[in-house]
Amino acid sequence: MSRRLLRVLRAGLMTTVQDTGRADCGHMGVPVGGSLDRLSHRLANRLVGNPETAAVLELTLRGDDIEFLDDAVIAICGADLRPQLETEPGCLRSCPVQCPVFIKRGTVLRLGLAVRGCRAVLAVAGGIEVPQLLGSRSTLLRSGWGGFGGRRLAAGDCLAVGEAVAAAGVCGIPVAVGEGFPRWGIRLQPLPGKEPARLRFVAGTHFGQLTCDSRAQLLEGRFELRPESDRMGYRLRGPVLELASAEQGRLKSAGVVPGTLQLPADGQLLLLMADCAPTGGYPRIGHVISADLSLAAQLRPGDSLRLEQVTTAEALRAFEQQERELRAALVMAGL
Amino acid sequence: MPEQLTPEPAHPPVIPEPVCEPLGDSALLFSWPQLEEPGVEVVVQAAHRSLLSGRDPAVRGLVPGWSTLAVHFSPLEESPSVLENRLRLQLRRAPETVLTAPRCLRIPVSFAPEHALDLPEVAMSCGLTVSGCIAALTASVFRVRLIGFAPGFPYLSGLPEAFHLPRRATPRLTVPAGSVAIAGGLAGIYPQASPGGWHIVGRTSLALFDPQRTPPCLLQPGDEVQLERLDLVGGVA
Repeated sequence: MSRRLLRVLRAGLMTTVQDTGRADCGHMGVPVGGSLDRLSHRLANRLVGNPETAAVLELTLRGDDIEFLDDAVIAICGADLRPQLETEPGCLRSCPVQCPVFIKRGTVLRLGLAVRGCRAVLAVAGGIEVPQLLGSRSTLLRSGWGGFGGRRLAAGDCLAVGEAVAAAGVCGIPVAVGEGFPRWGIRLQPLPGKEPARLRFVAGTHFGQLTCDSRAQLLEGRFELRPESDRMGYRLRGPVLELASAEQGRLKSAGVVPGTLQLPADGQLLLLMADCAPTGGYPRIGHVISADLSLAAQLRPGDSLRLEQVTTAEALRAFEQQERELRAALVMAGL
Repeated sequence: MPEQLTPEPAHPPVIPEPVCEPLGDSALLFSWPQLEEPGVEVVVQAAHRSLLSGRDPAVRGLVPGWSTLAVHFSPLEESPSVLENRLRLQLRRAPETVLTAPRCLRIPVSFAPEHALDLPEVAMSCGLTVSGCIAALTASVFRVRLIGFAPGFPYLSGLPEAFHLPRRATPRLTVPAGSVAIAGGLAGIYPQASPGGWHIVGRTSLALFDPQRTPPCLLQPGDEVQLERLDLVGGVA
């Protein structure tokens, strides 16, 4: 088994090892977890010939400097961290994104501040090799286990890479070497811009209990991500919403999912993300649809969003369409 | 009625017909709002067991709540309505299970002042002395209702009426790992350091959750729990 290594020369703001998480551990109070931007996660893995579930690095707002101690094929998807490749000291060139890139041994990949989006995914052919815990390589930061020692990466960390399923240049992966970087890239989901992001949601159990005013404000209002937002959930600043019934406040704990819009007693919505607890005790106003969670993953503190109600059938159609677009793009790329 | 197609079991259904609502587009939430305590607890556990055995291939995860059971699935593999019908059928056919005596676990707890941070305050609110509180807490038989909030965190019912207090006005930024805490008529044990708004009445050094252990969770719904007084040797936890 090959143990090709990456070395972190300078740590980013919050870089963790993530895969597609632990779907079957909710009964133990364990979050699903995994890459927040699932679409970029899957795409990046496919671009380097990995199974979609392989472990990647998730980089948040500011990336790392990573030295490759062996040849590698990588793909960077999601937020734009202005990646640069340094093949010799002082000799920098920009690194293409949303496509497979061959990296020569000794090269340093420099990832900077996100100019757009919040989270980038860095996939390496072979996948990031860390031990599996409860069936996953995802880091659970709050609990301090999983991924790379249960923590974010720090300068000096060395990560192993697994055996690539499809070696560079083999199995039809169109990897260009040296000067001939790919001139294409697959972007399925535009990164959030200046306009408020539009997140679609389906009504939750307590949607019907909102006062008329609150319902109108939910559908017409603008919400902003507060700085306390993280992988567990986004705190939204917006119109104060009220329930007509006395259920405002806490209920007996019941299942929630990433995407659930909870309404704590202060009337400010909480959008749960991948690291949320599997149960929650606040009223469930709605659930952001699966097809829009990858867009939500790219919002950063201060960004604004609007909520648009759809039916479950529309949510499923949107999810299926996103799946078709991913498949079609991969076929066009010859993958 | 397609009675011939869905033969009814010989015994009456052990799990009453649940209410089912979508939990977003990739999970279903079964609930039994018509049931009271303590019957609903048994039904949720029976439903969980039923869906675990002969597990439907579309089911990705099962999460029991207080009076609910969440079923996670991939909508790309199965439509929610088709899955709901199949799971309803499975619940209707759940075999009658023989009730076994619950596991009873003793949790050693230090009630030393440095561990039972809020015990004096709690005692005052309850009109008891600190030692009276400890006596009442260690005499109680708690029951694990569900695991949630954090990996391995048990929500415990059975807290004596006198201890039913609202949460702390200001939540703590860090509740130490192992803290035994009460709020809203429930008790709980923090498996890991985390923010929390419950009143801390003691601390255990038992690992409630360890991802490397089989099973990772010390407790499971249905378990009985008794707190056992123990002043931790060395006083460091």
